[in-house]
Amino acid sequence: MDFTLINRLLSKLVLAFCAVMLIPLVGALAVDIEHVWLFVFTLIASLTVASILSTYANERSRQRLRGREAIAVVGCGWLLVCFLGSLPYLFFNPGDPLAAVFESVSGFTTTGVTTVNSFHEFPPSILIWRCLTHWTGGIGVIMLFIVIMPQMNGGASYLFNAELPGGMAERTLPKIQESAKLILTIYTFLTILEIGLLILSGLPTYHAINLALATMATGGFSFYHDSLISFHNVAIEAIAVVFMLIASMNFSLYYKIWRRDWESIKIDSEPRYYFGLIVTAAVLIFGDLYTHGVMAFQPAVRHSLFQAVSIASTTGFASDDFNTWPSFSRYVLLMLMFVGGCSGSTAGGIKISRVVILLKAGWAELLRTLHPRIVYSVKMGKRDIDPIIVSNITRFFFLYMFVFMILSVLMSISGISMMESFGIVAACMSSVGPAFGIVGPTATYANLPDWARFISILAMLFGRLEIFTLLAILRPDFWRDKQNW
Amino acid sequence: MNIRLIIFLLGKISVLMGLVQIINFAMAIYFDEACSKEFLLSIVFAIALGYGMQHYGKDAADDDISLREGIGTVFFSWVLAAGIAGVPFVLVGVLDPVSAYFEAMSGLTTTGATAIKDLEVLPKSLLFWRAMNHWIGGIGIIVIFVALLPQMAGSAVYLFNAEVTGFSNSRILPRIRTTAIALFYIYLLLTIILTGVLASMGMSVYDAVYHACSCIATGGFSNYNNSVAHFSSPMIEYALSIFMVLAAGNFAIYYQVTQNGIKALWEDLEFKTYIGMVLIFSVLITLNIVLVNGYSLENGFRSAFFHVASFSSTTGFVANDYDQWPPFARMMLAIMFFTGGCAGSTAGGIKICRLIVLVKTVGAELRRSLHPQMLSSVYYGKARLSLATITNIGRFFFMYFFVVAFLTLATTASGIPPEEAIFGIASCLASVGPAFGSLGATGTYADISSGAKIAMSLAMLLGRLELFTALALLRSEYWHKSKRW
Repeated sequence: MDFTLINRLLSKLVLAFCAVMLIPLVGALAVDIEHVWLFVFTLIASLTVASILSTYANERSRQRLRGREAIAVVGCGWLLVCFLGSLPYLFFNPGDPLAAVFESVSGFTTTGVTTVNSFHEFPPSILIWRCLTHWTGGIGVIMLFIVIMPQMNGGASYLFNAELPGGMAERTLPKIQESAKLILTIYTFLTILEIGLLILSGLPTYHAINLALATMATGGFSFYHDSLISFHNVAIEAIAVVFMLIASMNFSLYYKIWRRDWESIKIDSEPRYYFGLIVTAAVLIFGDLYTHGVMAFQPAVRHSLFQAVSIASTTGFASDDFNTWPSFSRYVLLMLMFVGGCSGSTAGGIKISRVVILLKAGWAELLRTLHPRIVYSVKMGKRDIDPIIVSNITRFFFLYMFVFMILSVLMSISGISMMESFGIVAACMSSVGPAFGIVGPTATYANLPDWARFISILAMLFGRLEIFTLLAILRPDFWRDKQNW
Repeated sequence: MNIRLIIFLLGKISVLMGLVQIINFAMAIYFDEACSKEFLLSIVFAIALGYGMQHYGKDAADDDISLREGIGTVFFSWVLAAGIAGVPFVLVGVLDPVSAYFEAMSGLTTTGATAIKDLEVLPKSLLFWRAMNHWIGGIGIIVIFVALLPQMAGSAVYLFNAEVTGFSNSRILPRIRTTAIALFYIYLLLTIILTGVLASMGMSVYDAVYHACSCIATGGFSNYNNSVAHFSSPMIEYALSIFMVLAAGNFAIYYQVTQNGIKALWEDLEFKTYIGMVLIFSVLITLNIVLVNGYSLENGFRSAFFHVASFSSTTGFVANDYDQWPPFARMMLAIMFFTGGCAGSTAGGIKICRLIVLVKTVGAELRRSLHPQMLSSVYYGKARLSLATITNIGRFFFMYFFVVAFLTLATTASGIPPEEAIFGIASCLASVGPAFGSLGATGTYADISSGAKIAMSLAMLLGRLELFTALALLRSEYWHKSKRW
């Protein structure tokens, strides 16, 4: 393990973090000068960390990133940024450090749950910072799964379709930087496009920025604690639906569009399954809402589609209080939470491609029950999936459910009812945010006991780092240097 | 595929199911109950149907059973047996046909979920039919069949393998028939011992036989509305707890105990893990209910141990209203809907041995993500597991959760709240019986809609046949006439 390389990358990461921190600093200078010090102190702290890291770094270290080092950078980088990001909240309200960490983790993991009852408690500069944590968290995830993870062997290779055409076989840092820049450009472009459209539809600029940053990251922080319900604006909901869909699809798709690589777009079948799932879910919910007389025809169409997209993309916006919907609709939403969006996007959850492969593998296994010696391969679109990837995905599923169960049990220790414990952990692991019952779309996590908030933080981190990464860096032998491997 | 052969074999099952009802007929006459005519009618119906089917298939009677016919025979014999077992409930007028099928399926699959609201008004002979269903279903229709009918022995291997639970082939003796007979004797012996124990603790002979049949089959039917709580006897609760745990152990290991002494039990990884799990869960639940609900230590431990034994062995006896317990304790019980007992037992669920393999493969995967070039293989006991077995287990795990999710969808459509629906289906799939809330300790399945009852009957069947045997029938390849397979 090359610690000097890890330190160098981490210090660069913290510097990038400081650059983002400048935005709320400028915002604070412009609108509420009295809170500038929150960001100044945070910047000082972050720069100190960065300089400490860079003193132990070697500028001329290797250009190659090995699997273990990549895992270390991703895991530690994520934890470090979440910690530094909590400092403004902590300085603002030193009495509740757990809430500060919670808010920061919820932002960077693009979960979008809050422990604050009324957002008017926060000054505007902090509100800007909240949405920026979403946005940076979102781009961080895309980078992680499209750019960094495919560089690694072994355990992480289960992210099979995150590969980008060209150049990715070479694991050198300059190549990584090139594709990272392109992804960042696409992400920024889409965000600006959404801000523009929201302003055109009549939303004040400040709200538009807030909403767009949260949508593109499939986060879910909103300016009002009842999410989008209070806007009562179909145009805004429509724009949000479109951009939630865009944000929850594989960003390498947009990279391919950029490169006019239509052939490989045609081969990619994940978006088709994703749309199929959303349409099915929306139709089921619509049928349930309409036949139970909960809503008239038109609002039923609108809310079922919005809610299906919002939950499947793991954004967690609400256009109606789905907590009061009939049980079938709520159950469909709960299942969407588990499935999540496409791989290589900002969405969380198990991911469409994995679920499709699992289903196909299960279906193929039935054939093997009939013909024990049969040889077959699981196909996605027209591509054969490597059996090793299939078995990695089944292991991932087991691990996901295992962690889900353990965290739910730990959650229930604090006395939260069973179903709500399941709901909170599911919503946090798949980075959706609002769940059912006491943490429904119009409520916040403010009333949860500290223990439950701590478990939620763990769930968000496990879900976002896709479990393996976090488990790997928690192993002691991960840090032991062995030359023979 | 040789449909005539399948029908011929099903005819034998039908006759068998008719013949065993003679016991109930005799009981009805002995207790001078009004339902003797109905039993006679039911016996005549089953035997007539059986002979009709045998007559239809008599040309194929001497053919060999292939793998495909084995799967078909097992699946349809369970479907048919539940139909025949439901006839007395309909004839006596206790239940409507769908509920009767549910009740019979619940009996045969050793689930123990009841659709009867008030048991204590029913004639004793009819009540005893429920316990007999448990006992027949517990050892397995096919095992009884193979043990009793010598002419089946040659080609019974596929039948036997399709019904026996767990992934490793639990043929303890070289010949299928001797294996079946050995299992049958162990089963009978345990039942007789438990009957003696219960009778010596003050139960009437009828109650003792009833609960012994129900317990050793890990069923859960009782002839009293409030289950084991009726006796309010700590000794009976302890005795049943211990025998429930024993019934969830691998019967093949018990055979080895009779051959090699008690040390065979402690050399079995699965049994040790199972016992460890039961103890840990009991202690955790004891702590929880003693601290929160104010149980006395002895009462708390007894209740906790009883329900852990009852849920982990997938029996479903109730000695206490666990719905009043805190969420953590109930969550621990809910987890056992998924773990289940040991392979080769009468318990349902995913099975401990599969979970052990899954945990081991994840451990191997974590090691490999750190050392990408490493080759690691998974050992179970002393045997190295083949890739096919590991793949199968991973996919089984996914399919298990998928079936829960899918059948819950069908159940919530009838308006049952998601939390009750999920656990209801999980409980039926694992053949536990009681779930939570209105389906919980004090509730019954009487009031749920017919659609939900059908979904739950299907869950029980799928769970008993460990998914793949039943789901393989969905593949179109199964129905092809191709001779090549």
